[in-house]
Amino acid sequence: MSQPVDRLSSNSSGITASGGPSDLIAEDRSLPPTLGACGAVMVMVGLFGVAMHFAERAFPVGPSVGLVGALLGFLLLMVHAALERSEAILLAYLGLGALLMVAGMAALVSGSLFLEGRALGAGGFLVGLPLALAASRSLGLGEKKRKDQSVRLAAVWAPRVIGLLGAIGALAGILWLFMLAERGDFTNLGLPTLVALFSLIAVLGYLGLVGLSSDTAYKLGWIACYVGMGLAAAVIVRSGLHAWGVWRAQGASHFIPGGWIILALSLLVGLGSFALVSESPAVVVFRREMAAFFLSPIAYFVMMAFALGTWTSYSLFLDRLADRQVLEPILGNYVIELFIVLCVLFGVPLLTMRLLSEEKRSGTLEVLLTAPVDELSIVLGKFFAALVTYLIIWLPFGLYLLALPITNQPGFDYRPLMSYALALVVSGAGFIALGLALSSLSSNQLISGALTLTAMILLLSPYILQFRQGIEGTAWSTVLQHVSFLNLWESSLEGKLVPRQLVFHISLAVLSLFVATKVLEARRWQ
Amino acid sequence: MAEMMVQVSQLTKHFGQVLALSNVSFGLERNEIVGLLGNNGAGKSTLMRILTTFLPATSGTAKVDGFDVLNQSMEVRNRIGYLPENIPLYPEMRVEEYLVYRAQLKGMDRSIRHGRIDEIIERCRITGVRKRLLGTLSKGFRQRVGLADALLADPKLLILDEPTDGLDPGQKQDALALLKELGRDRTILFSSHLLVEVEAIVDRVLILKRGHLAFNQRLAALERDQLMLVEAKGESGAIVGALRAVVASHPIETQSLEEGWVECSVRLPEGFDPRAEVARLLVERSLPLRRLDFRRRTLQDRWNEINNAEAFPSGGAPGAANRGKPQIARVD
Repeated sequence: MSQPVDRLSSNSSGITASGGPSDLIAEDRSLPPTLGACGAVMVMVGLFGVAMHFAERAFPVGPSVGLVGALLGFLLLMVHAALERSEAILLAYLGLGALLMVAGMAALVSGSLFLEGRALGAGGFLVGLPLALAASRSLGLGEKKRKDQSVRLAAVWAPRVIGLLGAIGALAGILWLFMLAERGDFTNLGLPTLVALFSLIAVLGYLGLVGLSSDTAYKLGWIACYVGMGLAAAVIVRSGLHAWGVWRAQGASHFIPGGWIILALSLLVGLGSFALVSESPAVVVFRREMAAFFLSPIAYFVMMAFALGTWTSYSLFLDRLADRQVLEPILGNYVIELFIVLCVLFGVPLLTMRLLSEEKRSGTLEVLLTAPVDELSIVLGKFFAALVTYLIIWLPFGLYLLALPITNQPGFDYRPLMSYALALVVSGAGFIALGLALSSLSSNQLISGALTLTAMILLLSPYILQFRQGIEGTAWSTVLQHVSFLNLWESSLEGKLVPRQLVFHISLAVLSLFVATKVLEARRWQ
Repeated sequence: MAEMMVQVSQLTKHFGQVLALSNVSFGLERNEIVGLLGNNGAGKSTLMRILTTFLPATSGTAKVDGFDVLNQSMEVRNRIGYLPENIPLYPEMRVEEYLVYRAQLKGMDRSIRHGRIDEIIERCRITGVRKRLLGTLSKGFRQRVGLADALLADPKLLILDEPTDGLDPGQKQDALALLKELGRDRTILFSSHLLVEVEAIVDRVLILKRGHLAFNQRLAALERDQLMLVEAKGESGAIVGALRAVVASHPIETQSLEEGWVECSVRLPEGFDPRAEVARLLVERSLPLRRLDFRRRTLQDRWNEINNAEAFPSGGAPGAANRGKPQIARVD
């Protein structure tokens, strides 16, 4: 994860291999350009589709599919940028990323290009940042072989400029907030907060790239963490005060609609920087597991499957919207869908099966458990890494929803998304913890995966069983309702969060984590 | 004995029906380099896994630096560096990332960490591969990365499971020199198949045989022993009788050679040289003598004694040369 850019040039001495088989030996050389080409085509076709939509011309690729396609295409470009070694291509990526970031930030601040300018600006910024960072990292990796001084400078300075501008942006945003507050203007706090948060995300990206070996970077990371957490706390307190009528700023926006976006973003920044800088064993294990997911193709393949599954269900959803056959909650038609359920059924085992099995098989568990780390930290680190990966894999799903309003579809009530997001986290925690516990039982990944798949099917069955004759209407039916994750999803999409439906999934998660810890400890009993 | 680095008493380990370690007791002093020898399946790795807290013993206790491996496992883990057999590493990580990760897991302070990692990388001579993926490293480099990891937190006790296995001769020399140097200010327990390399650097030798501790001696003590080799022609009883008259109760081993020649080896304490006496007596009794020789008793001798002590020696003795030899009968 961390490759200190400054020290890249210091590794010349040594008895072997400085010019020998290099980083790419394990990676397939033909794969990155192919991914890049696919990504470029997807971006171009997708953006063309969006442009055609705004120009009101007919084009086979609709605007929403085009937008999502473009975003996925950018994802492929990022993968290519991370693996490519050719200077010209990397510089092009660096330029493209920088352009997207600048344009995105400009659109975010002005918000006047057209109605959805801010959303598109935010998207552009978030796509451009990792693209630029990935390209400059790759430029830095091959630094020894590069003769061109300007390329070297680009590799070293591009991330620094991003980090510096991010820090300036964050400070400016926070100063802006204070100025508005001083003037007693509480109506426009959203924009400066967003600017500050996006700038902090850029700072985090920079920190993630250069690593936290320097004390400055380390301290910056903690500052970002505290700022993010502070902003989150401020939103909660402010919304709470508002909700109970203790204090109402004149016309100030509260939790809905702006507050929760800021809350989510500031939590992202706060927790993200905590995950980057903290050195408690669980977080260290978490970082390694995240790297294992995203440095190997597994996360990307599962993500691809999810993107396809959600795309299918999204297009069916659009058809139904066009036929006006939808009942509230509209989103229920999108989520409770065969393809999405299938993706979850198969996706969870794919993510969890290697967690402990692989370590047992390869013997790395022995190295891990003879370091001064307790079993619980290892289990928690792995659990949160898999859970976060699982949630990241849901991103395409969210992207389609973002695309929906931009394409002039009938508006939908987005507020249930908040309760749905919570339901997704809670049910996901249950799945992932269960998979982790099952992965601790075997040193064979396939066995762990098959066990988890069985368990997932068992978890799905209550949804179907509750309507069977002889069960429907009895107490069993109620029990099954509380156990079924699809029931939880359904009611959360209606905007309800029923605690008794959460209980089962939370206890499943806690129990499974307990079991996994005990299984690891069990080698020491007898 | 609180000052012992490792104190093992009556350690027994069963895997189901299989007895892996049986009633093993020994102590290792501080700053001792200790070689652990034994055939495959003798229990070397099991013993190491118990000492590193990875496995519990079925019965008996083991203490590292005064801390019990079972009840005070965190204290023990803070004091050891461990290199398991086959050096398991995460293939997708790069060398330097891996060392940073391990240093963080071991709770090393930020302020010293990077300096320490640079130092270790230099010392284990992996500078040239610090950006390489672990999965692409050759066996020799894997060993060094594993050793670098074990050394990171500057542990008081290094436990290395076959650290020279799979290295080429040059690398072996380097690794042994490094161990010798490291052993100046820490205790090192390492296992090996090669007696020669063990003999070159260790202070103490432990030999495990089918879970039993068959040998535990400082090498210095071992070297004080010497062997007198006698080759004479005649009935072995007569020859031994003649020898007994001179060396009294010191242990004698006989082995029949070709054409009625018999080789006797007599284990003698330091400073006792009865060769003139033996020659005179054998000639007196008309037993032809063709060799009368003095030799230090090597580790190989002890190894052979231990592994041939039973009628059916366990398979895979390392000195493959002695497999073809005729059976040695013990006469002491």
